[in-house]
Amino acid sequence: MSTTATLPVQTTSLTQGGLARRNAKLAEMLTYGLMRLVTYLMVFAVGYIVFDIVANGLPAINWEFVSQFPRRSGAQGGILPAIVGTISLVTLAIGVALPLGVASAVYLNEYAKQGRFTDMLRLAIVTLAGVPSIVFGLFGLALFVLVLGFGASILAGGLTLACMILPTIIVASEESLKTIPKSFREGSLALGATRWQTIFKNVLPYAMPGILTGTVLSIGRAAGETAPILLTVAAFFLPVLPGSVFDQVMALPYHLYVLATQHPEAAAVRPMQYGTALLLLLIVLGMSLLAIVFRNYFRGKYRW
Amino acid sequence: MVIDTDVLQPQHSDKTGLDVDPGKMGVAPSAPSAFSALSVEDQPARMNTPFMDNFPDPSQPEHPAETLAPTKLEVHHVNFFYGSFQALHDISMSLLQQRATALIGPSGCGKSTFLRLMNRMNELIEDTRMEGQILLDGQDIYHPDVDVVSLRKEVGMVFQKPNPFPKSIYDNVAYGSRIHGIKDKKTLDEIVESTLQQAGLWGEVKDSLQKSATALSGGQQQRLCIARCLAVQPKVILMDEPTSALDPIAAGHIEELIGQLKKNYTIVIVTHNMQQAARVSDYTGFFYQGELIETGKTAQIFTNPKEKKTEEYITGRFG
Ligand SMILES: Nc1ncnc2c1ncn2[C@@H]1O[C@H](COP(=O)(O)OP(=O)(O)OP(=O)(O)O)[C@@H](O)[C@H]1O
Ligand SMILES: [Mg+2]
Repeated sequence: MSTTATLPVQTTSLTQGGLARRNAKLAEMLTYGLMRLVTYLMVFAVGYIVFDIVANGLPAINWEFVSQFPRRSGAQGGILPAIVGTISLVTLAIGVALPLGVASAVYLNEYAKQGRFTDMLRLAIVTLAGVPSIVFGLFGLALFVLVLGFGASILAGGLTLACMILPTIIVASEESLKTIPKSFREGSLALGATRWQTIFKNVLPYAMPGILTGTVLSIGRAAGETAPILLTVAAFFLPVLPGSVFDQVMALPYHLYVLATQHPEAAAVRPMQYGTALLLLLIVLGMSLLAIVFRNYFRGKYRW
Repeated sequence: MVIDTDVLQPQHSDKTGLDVDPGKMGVAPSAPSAFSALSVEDQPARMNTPFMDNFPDPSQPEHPAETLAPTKLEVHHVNFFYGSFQALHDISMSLLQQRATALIGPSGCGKSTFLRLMNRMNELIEDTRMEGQILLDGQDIYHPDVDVVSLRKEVGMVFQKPNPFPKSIYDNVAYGSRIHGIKDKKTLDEIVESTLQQAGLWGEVKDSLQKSATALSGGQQQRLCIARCLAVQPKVILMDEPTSALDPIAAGHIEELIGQLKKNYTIVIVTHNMQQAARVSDYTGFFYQGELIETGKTAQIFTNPKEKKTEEYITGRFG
């Protein structure tokens, strides 16, 4: 019978070409091995840095360190003004950039007629995302500090940071909007919803997780960048709390820079440097966690 | 093909396809609706379109006792373009109230395009253009004064792929009502229950209204979409291959439902399934390469088509 006759032939065909297949398998194993190696290296590098900071920073952190004003140019006392400064700068930056960024992304993806103009806009935004932060600092100095007359202030610094993270938020938001199926929009419009209602009720809520992922990335960047705030807000040594957004303030990354390179007793204040670095990490972590909690809320609520 | 003539015969048993009275077309006795942006004076002049030739003159004495289904939607000489590509050529057709009209034809012939003209969904596609007129209860739906939102409330749509929103079952059905300003919890509850009941889904979901709609089966999802569409109280329901993503049993449920719905709504259904067209529709339009080749009573189209192309398509010689 033909079925029994073909069976052995098929079995041999499965074992044929063994050499070529073995080579292909070897190549595959090598590639995967390399990828795994690179990944492990990355994890190791990050892990080492974090370990170093935590190990050296933890002993420096105590209640006095987070609640006191600095003394003797930061060699003693705490770093309360810098903590307050960084938190207020990041909050202001996100508070300004998130709504603006989402609005831009909504315009680009939902309203604008797609074509050369929108392509150029997108190119400009992606390019802006890659502009060095010192350039944003100079821009902020020129526009917010000088032309608009905010002076070196939280307002000027926060807006400068907002400009810096805006492109990232726009790109992340637009990518997220793109993943929302067209059928959700059509379904809503076909029920007589306006475009605006459709976006607000049936698109943006589902895009929130992606938008908040972009926000998490931006929090780290806004908290960590030194150059923009150096030119627009950060005080070298200012052991008072700001009274309004028009005041200057200290900030953690700049304080770290000062302690590490400008301080006359750089070696003696090493624990303070580590403590400052660890606190900066913790603040970024805390704010990101907040965004992640929101993200998970939206993820759990709208599943498709 | 076996055709169940009981299903095909419209309720008023009309043997000649006599359903359109050109003289009466403007006075569709539908309930007054929110869709009334235009006064009577604004309405374009009526014309007798050539497709009326398909239907005998109602004043002929042989059929004096004829009851006529009023026209709900009238399509006059419509051309439609995607950019420079003309997808529809001079389409004229009447869609009758409380009747189901099936649109059939090979893939790419323009059925969906035609369907989406009736609730102006094609406008969402950039670089498209329409010529001609579509009248809903005698009003030109493409008139600049017409509010597209109230048009879409009047003309609902069910899509080919069930598209429940990733919200709860309740929120899906209540979506349209909420959009249109109904906030009262009790009213919403009533709307949700009655439309789910109409869609034949209430029994299956009444204990899990807060469950995510995306967790339903495909057939349940499609019935949910129908309920969602009914909840805004449309007069016309457009369905674009509503059962093509469903198994035969789920499709059977939907067909049954269409049979129920056409007592109260004007239904236009695109389908690739000839048996389905024969089962659910009273009238059928055959499209081919952007042209409406033939319209008529479903029984007539399927048993005795006038055009050769129609016959070839129905008998499966192409398509
Ligand atoms: N968005 C679009 N842009 C350009 N051309 C389109 C677009 N949508 C449809 N067309 C063209 O218009 C013609 C009619 O398309 P349509 O979707 O109406 O066909 P259909 O009859 O619904 O087909 P099917 O049975 O496959 O759904 C096709 O030639 C198609 O290529
Ligand atoms: Mg189609």
